[in-house]
Amino acid sequence: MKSLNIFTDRFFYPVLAAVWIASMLMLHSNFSYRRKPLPSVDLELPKNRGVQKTAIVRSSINELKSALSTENDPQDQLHILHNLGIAYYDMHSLQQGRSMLDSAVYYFMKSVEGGPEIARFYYNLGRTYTTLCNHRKARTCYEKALQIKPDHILALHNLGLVYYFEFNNPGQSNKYLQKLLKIDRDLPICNYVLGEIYLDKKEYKRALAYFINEVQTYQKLTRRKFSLPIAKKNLQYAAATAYLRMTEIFAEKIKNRQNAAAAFASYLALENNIQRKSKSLQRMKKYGFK
Amino acid sequence: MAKKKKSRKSNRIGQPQSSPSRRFSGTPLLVFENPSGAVTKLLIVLQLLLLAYQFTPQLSTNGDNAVYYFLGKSLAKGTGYRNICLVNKPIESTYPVLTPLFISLSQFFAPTPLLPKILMAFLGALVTLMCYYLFKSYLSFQLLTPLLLLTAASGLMADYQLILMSETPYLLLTLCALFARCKSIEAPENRIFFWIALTLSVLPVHARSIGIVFSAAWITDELLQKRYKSAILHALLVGTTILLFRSLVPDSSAYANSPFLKNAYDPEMGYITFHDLKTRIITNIKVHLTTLFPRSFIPFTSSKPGAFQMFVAAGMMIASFVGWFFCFRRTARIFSIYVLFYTGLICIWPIANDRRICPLMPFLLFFFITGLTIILRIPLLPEKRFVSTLKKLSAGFNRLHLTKAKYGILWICVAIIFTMNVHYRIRNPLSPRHGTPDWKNFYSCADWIRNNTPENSVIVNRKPELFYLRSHRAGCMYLYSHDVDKIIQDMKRKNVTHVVYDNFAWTRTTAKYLYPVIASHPELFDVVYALKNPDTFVLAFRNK
Repeated sequence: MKSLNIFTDRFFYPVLAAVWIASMLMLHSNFSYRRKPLPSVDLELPKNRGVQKTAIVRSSINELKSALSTENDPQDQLHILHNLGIAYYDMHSLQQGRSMLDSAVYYFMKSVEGGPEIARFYYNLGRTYTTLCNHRKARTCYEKALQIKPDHILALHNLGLVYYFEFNNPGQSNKYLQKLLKIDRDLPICNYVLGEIYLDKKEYKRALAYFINEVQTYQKLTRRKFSLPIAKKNLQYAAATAYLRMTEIFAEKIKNRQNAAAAFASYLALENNIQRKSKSLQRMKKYGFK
Repeated sequence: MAKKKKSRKSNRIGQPQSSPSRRFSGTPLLVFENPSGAVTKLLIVLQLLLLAYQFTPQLSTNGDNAVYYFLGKSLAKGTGYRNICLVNKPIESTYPVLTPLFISLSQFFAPTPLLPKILMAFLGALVTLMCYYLFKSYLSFQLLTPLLLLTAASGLMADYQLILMSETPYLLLTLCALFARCKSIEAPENRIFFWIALTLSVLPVHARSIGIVFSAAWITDELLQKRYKSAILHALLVGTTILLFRSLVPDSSAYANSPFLKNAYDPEMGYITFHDLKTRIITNIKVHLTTLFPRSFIPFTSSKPGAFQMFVAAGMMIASFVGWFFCFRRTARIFSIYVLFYTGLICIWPIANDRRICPLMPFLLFFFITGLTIILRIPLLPEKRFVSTLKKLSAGFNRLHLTKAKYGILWICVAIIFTMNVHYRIRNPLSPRHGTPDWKNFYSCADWIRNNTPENSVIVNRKPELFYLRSHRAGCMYLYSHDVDKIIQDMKRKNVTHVVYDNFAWTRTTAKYLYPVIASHPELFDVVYALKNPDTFVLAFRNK
């Protein structure tokens, strides 16, 4: 009788295990680990809305500030200060407030004071000064960044542009931009500036080559949709003006009317500024372009 | 035989003058041979019903449970002990091998997390069964029943029985080893129990690294009992198996070093100082006493316990302490030594959470029942009786027993704790995190990655293992560093192709570490998929 007792441990527990496991398997057999679509898929954002959104930047600022208050390592504190400067700089691009840039300068200055051996700190401080139109300080910062890291692409780029546009020094600008193009040919605006420099020197073929590079770089970048630390309108201005210069060189110097017409058509498609557009149309009338 | 019966009786705490097991032995309750066995079966069925109610096939949002699953999967595939969801599939060195081995066995039958999850939940029921076998040598039927009731109902243990973590296998192995040890002490002439106990005692350290304190407690108690041969054999066996594992797995000392690191996620930050260690211990003790132990006894979902919960939990902690202290004098001394060593270690651990208390729960509940019994037995008045009772207790409390009224008080306490635990389990049947919008968006990004990127893509995200489950793309975490260039270099070294910018409500590490990287190097990133509420992005990484 004892051996038939279903409540003995050696009978009861294996049966219980088998029944429970089997029933659980049957109950959940339809479950999929790749259920699709998820409800939130409906909430897709337009892709052009980047990560730099006010809520995200604010959240980052809060986190970095709390990290700063708890961090004991001086080296890490410097990086946090620098990252705070970056966040405030982004906040400025969202809210357009000068106070944000002042905060960015404050944090960048602190990071530079503590870590004068890090090129990135100087570059970002310089970038903030450029936005504040304080170009002398910006130039000093870029030069310091290049003393520490001679191949700092963005510092070379910005310094080349500052020398050309703000200090009217094409020689220095040429020096830095040539160095930059040896490292990376795909950077925008610098080819345009070099084209202008060689156009002033009346080296038309060389200037044309740089303008062609500029528009090719622009096409490449816009196709890939890379976000750059350069305003899109500046990118577009450089490319449009490069097309216009190409038109002039093809029409006046190389006497290739077909290429000139194609370049001018591209210019018209790219140019957003109506005043500039109408001025160019006036100038190009003499070549028969409408 | 009679002698043996007597010795067992003398081990029992709260054994009344007329033993209930003897009283029931001649008159079976229904068709059961013994009432405690019948009650245990009933409780295990109840526990399984509760587990079935709470069960969800989805993997928990705890990243470790995905790691265990994929390690098991890798073993089942025959690719070795590798973390297949990480870039370059590195050999795993921080997770002990037993839990993945257990999971790998289930993968031969069904290659999804469902079966191992069900089996893990069933191990939870086996924990209650092993508690019955182990503690029936120490407690009478009247005290064993409330203990098993609380074990089966424990919300904390259930939380870890429902996810693929090593806590439940570890706990089961410790209970099995201790039970085998009890058997070997009860029947020293039967050497088979000795060898079984010795073999089982080595396994916990290979289920969880913290199992080293189990071995330390085992050796300490064996030495105190002057069983030198057993202590030496255990130490040799543990040492040999650890060395064997380390010889097979390179850099397996990483986890052992982690308590002494400043930041376990960034070992380059170096080791803590003595001052840091002191501060950490004080903080951990505070957190354990004010939040973690109360939450382990009476689980609650809010960050702080309510006044009543705190009152009950404080009572339980006091009773447990009394039980722990008194068990030092008994054959249950190994439990006290183990709990002492274990709590000592968790106080120096960098992260304090209830996960580490889970494997202690049956022992804490055992101390609670013992302690409560002792407290109820001490008469407050008159003074003479109080002193004489204390003397009796210090000599050995097995001869004392509870009156009916006091037994009623004990049951009221147990009923309150049981109700609060079951209430927590019924109210909180599923992990709510899966339903939260931050997780939905995270998994939606994983779906997008699976459908729109090549198979060899490498994705940086906050939870690479959980992300792999849906995306089928290897991934890695961003470094926990404020140096953005260091993070960029690390991403380039790992050939990262995409980055997931999450907006998890439970952590802000992405805002803290990843945001500055994207903001300071925007030329390297491009948004390719974006979701709102909360904002979550997939960014292509320009890895030149």
